[in-house]
Amino acid sequence: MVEPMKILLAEDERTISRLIKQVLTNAGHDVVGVQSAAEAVEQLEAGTFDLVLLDLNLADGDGMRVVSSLEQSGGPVPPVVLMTGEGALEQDDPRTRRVARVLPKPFDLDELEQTVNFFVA
Amino acid sequence: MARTGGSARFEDSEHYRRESLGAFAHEIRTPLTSIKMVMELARRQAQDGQLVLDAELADMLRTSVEDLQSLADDLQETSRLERGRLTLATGPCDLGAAIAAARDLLDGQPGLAVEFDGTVEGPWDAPRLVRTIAGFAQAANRLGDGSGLVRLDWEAGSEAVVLRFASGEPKEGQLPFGAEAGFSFFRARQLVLAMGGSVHSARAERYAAFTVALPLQANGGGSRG
Repeated sequence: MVEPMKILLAEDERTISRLIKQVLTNAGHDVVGVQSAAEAVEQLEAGTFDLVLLDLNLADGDGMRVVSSLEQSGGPVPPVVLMTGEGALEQDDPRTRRVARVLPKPFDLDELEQTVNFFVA
Repeated sequence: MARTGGSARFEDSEHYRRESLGAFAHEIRTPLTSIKMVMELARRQAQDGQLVLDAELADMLRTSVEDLQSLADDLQETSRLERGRLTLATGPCDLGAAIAAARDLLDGQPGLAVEFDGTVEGPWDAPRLVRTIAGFAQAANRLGDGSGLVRLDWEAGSEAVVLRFASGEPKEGQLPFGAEAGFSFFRARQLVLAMGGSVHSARAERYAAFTVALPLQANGGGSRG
């Protein structure tokens, strides 16, 4: 049994969002789902999360805006897992240094669970 | 060395082609992710003695497959446009009606704040024009301020009607257009060129604007920007 975490999920593709939420909720985690960068920033300002699963390409802009907002907040920054449709990012891509992990699409359930479990206390 | 007009157009064309392929590769990964996850969930359910594919998972699978089909159709159409192998169904088309249909298609994602007063009719492919307008609006929102509201105004001249899509406040500097614009942007751009129009793009930090000229006469042959 894993230690439950409070996870913010920012993913605008509804099917993926529903699937991730279903899997992580079944695993005992508390998942808050949002569909835009703006909503993600609002949630992060309003509450505390143990982990952020962040889609890179949200409908209202680059998910890295959320990372920038976190970096500028001055408060504790939860680890961010960047889910990207760009596939594996280049090693020297500066975005890889600003997040804890990169999860390239298409990923499967095992890869998702292994990534999330890495952050379980 | 200064680029000649011809080579500049060729380089621009090559740039947009490369980036559109990048955008396409990006976008097929999303439905592929859904399909991989649904397959794994179905496998786990089967192991637990449950239905192999319950109705909800089947719906998710169907949606993802339809998304893939739609992307494949768009890619094929764009390829045919580039090769001059697609005949557009051009005919009298009311711009106001096309914009209204695009707003319905977008369903508020993003919303379109339209400054539109009057009637303009041109020799355009109406269904494709609707998706073209929607494609520019989505790209403007994604590359602009992401507020969920894109401004659209227009001006009719003697030879063309010019549509301006904008999101955010204009700023100094010019950021490049890449795959992050989304495949619908590249498809929309290619359709406008095929209709004899032109597209000019401007992008800065949290600002994006597209100026789209559509010819008012058949075979208008606008510049390809």
